[in-house]
Amino acid sequence: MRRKIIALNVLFTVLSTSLFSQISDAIIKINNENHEYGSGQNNNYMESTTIYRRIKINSEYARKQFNTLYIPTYEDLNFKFILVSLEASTIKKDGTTYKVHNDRIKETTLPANVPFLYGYDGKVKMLAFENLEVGDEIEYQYRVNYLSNTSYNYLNFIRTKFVSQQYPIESAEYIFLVKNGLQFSGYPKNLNATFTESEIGRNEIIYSLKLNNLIENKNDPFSSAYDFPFFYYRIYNKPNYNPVESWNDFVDNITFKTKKKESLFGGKTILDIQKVAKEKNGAISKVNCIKEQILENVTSDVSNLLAQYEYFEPDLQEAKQLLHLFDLLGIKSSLILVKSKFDGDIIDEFITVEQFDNFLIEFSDKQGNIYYMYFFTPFYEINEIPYRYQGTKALKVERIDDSYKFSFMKVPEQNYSSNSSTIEYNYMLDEIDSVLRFDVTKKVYLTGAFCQSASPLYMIEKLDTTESLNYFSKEIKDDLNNNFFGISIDTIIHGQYNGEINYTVEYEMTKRNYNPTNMLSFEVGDFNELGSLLGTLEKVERTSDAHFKFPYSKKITLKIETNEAYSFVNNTLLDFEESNNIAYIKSKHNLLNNILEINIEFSLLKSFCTKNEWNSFVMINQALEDYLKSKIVLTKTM
Amino acid sequence: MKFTGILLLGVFACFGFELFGNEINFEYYQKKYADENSIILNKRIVVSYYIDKSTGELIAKSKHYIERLFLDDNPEDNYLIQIPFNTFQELQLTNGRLFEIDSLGDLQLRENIKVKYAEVKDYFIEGIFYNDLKVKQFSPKLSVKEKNVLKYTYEYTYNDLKFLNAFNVNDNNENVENFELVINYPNVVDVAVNQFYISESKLDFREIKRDNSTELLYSLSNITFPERNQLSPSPNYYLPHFIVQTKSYTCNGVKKKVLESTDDLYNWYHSLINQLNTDDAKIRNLTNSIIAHKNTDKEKIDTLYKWCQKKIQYVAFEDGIAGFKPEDAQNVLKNRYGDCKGIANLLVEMLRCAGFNANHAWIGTRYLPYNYSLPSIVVDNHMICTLEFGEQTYYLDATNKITKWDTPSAHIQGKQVLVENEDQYKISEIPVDESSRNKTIIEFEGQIENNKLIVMGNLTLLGMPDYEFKSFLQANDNNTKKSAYTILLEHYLKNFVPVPDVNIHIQDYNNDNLKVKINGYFAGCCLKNEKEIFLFPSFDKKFKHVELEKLETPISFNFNEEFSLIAKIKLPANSIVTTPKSHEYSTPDKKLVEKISYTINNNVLVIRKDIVIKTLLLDNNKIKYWVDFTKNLLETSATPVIIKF
Repeated sequence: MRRKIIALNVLFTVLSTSLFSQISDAIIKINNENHEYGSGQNNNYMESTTIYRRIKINSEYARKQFNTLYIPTYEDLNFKFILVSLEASTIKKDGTTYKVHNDRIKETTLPANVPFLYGYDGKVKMLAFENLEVGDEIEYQYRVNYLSNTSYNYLNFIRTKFVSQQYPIESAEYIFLVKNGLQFSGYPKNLNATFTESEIGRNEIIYSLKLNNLIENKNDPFSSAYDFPFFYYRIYNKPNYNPVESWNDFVDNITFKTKKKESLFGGKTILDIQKVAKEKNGAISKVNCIKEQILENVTSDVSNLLAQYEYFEPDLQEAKQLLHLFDLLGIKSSLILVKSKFDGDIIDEFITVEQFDNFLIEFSDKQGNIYYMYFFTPFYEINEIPYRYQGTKALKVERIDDSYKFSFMKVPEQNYSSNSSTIEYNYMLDEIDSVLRFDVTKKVYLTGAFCQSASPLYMIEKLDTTESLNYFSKEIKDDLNNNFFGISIDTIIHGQYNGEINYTVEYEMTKRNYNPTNMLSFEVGDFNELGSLLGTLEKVERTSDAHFKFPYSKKITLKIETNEAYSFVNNTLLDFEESNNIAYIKSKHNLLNNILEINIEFSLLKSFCTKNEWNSFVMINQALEDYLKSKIVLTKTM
Repeated sequence: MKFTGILLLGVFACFGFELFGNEINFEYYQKKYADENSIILNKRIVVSYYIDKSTGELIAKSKHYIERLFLDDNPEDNYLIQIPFNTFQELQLTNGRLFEIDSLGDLQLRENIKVKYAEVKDYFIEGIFYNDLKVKQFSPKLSVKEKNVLKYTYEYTYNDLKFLNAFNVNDNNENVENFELVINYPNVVDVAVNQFYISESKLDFREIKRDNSTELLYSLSNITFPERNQLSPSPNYYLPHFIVQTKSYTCNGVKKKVLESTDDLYNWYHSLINQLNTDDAKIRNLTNSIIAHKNTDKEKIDTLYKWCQKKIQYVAFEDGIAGFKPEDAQNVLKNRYGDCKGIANLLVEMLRCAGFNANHAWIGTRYLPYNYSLPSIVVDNHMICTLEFGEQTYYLDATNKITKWDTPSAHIQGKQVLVENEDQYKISEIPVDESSRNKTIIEFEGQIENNKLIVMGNLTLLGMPDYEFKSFLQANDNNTKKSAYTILLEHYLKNFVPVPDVNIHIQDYNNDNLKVKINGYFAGCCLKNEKEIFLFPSFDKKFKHVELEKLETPISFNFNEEFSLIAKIKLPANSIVTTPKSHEYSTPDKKLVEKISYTINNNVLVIRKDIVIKTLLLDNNKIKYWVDFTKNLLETSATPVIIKF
């Protein structure tokens, strides 16, 4: 009898602690950061940071994660990171402490096989906590001095500190000590706490933020780091950098006047563009002319084009240049500072242009119609606004006579169906010498956000050089390739690009691992890319809302033909419909004269779902996944 | 006779940097290697032995000449060349030049690379720092482009000849056009060159005997890197390589052994064990406290083994990838971490303190294809503890956190092991599990609703499949563990969707097996129309990544095993059912067996599929067995049961 009780206890222990425990692998009991800012020797800037952490280890996984501590130090032209002190201990459950002695702290170079670090000349101090077991705590404190060149602008820019981590935090404190006239300002977000200020001596002020019980940060592809607690902060040197105190001050400092001989986006000058654009009639024609003039430079080669699309960082100066050009052309315009909806809301009291990540230009024609232009990835058409800015709160700066005024506005939204992807596939199946092959024609028609994301690729193809065509061909091939078929592209035919994209690709697919039998069976997902749309999702308790890139409508037509050697077996399960408030899926099939046609429509109706809606989203995604596994079967007729 | 300085005979040919002439037909190589960014045009390694004047000891150098042709622009700004070395070698970079092929196919110098400024960096392998493994690295200042040729030379000096051993033809997934290995040695040195996976038809071998020396020349060309598949063994099982074995040499009339036989290998290993300074009292006290309430010997062994598994973490820092001396047991105890040698040594000492006959044992895991017929340190990469208990020898590997003490880990099964026995040693072979010890059993009952087969049943794992899953859980965080049920079923079942809101269904989790409830549906396994339903019996993912094409490597299996799937499907009333024929397929050597049967009883269709694997490796000669076997598996899952209304 006693044996049975032990067995049940073991089972209970395993189930409750090893497999399905709700306990976090580790709990950060204390996370204290102390940052001191001042001048170092030779008048360079110095930040001295002391980190103190105490962490409870609850699982083997956490023991592996935390049993070693690595602190890199390195220097480059502008920085020198110096480790000043390091102490570490294991605290056993009974309170016994095992300190890691200095002779057990090893030093290596920065590892040769970590891509980011191999270029740096630096060292890593590392240690392993002694006698560490599950249930124990580790405690460590280290101090690092960051020295920066006086010529390097180490201060004066905005930094973001994300305070939640992979594990829950019981107590955290962030202390900023500024000396010698340096100033601090901090702006917490998603936090119920504010910075407190206390003067501790002449020219020495402490700002501290105390936080308790921060839940773990469950980041996934659908969440944004800005959904979790964080704060912006800025250390600045007042004589050199005078932050504005209000949005009125901010706009007072703005002027849209620039020099006419300045080059716009590194290409033609404002004067040159003005000369060409002023010949056009009406605001729309003039703005389109400006865009073409900019594009002429941007699309000159593949690398330039990709750089503009992928790496371009908008600059207020360029926005001013554009507005100056609009002025010169007599088009009434305003500047709209926008921030991506995936990066959190605007903080009204945080007066800085650095809060924003991009600009739109609003302009009007003589009839008073209002238009928007997104110039900073100049593939957009008039009134095409990147989805990430649609519906967000933005700061509008407009000139009225000779003064500038600000107001907050909501960026216009576009309907989900304006982001559409329509694809027609024609498959012709044949078997030659035991190789199963399909000749495929794929016609693609994209609008809205689909078009915006594909436009640089399309423009690369239009460059019509060997390099650009190779690049385009490779990208198209990568898009088609999957594990089921081998693919070789025959031709690519393109149509017009006017805010919409349509092109046709002809290619051949051969089935991998084909084993000739009297019956061929495929899944609907083998013939289109819907399967990779969202991936497999799990029902979980989310800690943040889920963001999608943009809502959309996808329509796919599959037409599969074969010769008389095969005959399709009808599958009524190819007719299918399911919907909820987040997405909609519909499929209809038709089998006539041994030609199978399937029309599929999938629409994502919203740009995000709340934590509570997540499981509904998972269910509709599962329905799509199930449908894509539906069978397409052919039998050999001879 | 004394040999002083480097033996120059045969080395002259290499001193000219241009190995095989200048003219390069770039278009030819670009077409030949269409998918590659670069290839090794020429690789030449010259090994030379000589006597160090100051010590009178035999040492050796290996000089490496590399010519890399770039078929595409290198995407990174800096093309980094990293050359590994360990503390038992000295590495000197001697030359580096970047050329461009001109329109005539000739090489024009672009940059003379300053290799003397190469950095020395430490190296991490899978996040673990090894204190004796380093790289020297350098890069051209100019960006490397299509039609560039990068030539560089470097030289290793081996003061301890045990560490002069393996030379690979292909490194790092690279294709090699021409390869040469030249070995020059004075005739007083006894050298053996062991070839592994060298195709005789591609090899050109010459031996030149001179009065005082011998030159061996191995040439190969067109050595492409095979494409790996899901079941490929480690590259050591198929990539061509040479292992040089310095057996002995005679100096001043005295024969000195290096590694002539396994005796020499053991003597060296054992000398390292003898250097250990175990704090017996400390280990004994702890051992006694751990087994204080254990009555039987088996309980004591089990308790000590589990204590090491649980309490000692595998590796924080390795004392050295090339290090062979374990950490003292009391240090591992204090740290609560250790590498394989440290953990094995602690377990040996604890078992000895408890009165058992435990010993250190050296082994090459199944990552290495060698055995002790080759007396070389490359044979071993792991240390375990052996235990003589009852009439049997047991092989305890406490770096594996899941297996039981009487079950050797899968990654050492079938391998030879060198067991310590005072001044003697014993070579034995670790037994391989019978397939019946390692089972996966999937059983369910179900019925068809629309395109879904709705099922309830069980998944049972016994032996290694059970250990594998527990190892997976052990290595992962609690969030992953919460999804354990989904992950497990996803691993074994194809297109299976657990019912919504399913909660914990792992019914039993003990040391012997894992049993999980199956509750959900299989999506897409049916086709339905007005007259009939096609049911495709494609329920499991066993060998889901079957490959019939491009099988360029041997096939390996983690362990011998048996897999069974039993599906009992309720048929619609009054239906007429046509099943495929029941059949059995086995390879001629009976190592791979597949059976499938279809029966109908009381309107219930029973589909049973059994797979038996009784081999750990299929070499290239047996690939055709694998192709036939997988073709049968594919055909089974693609042939439906037809149910007519």
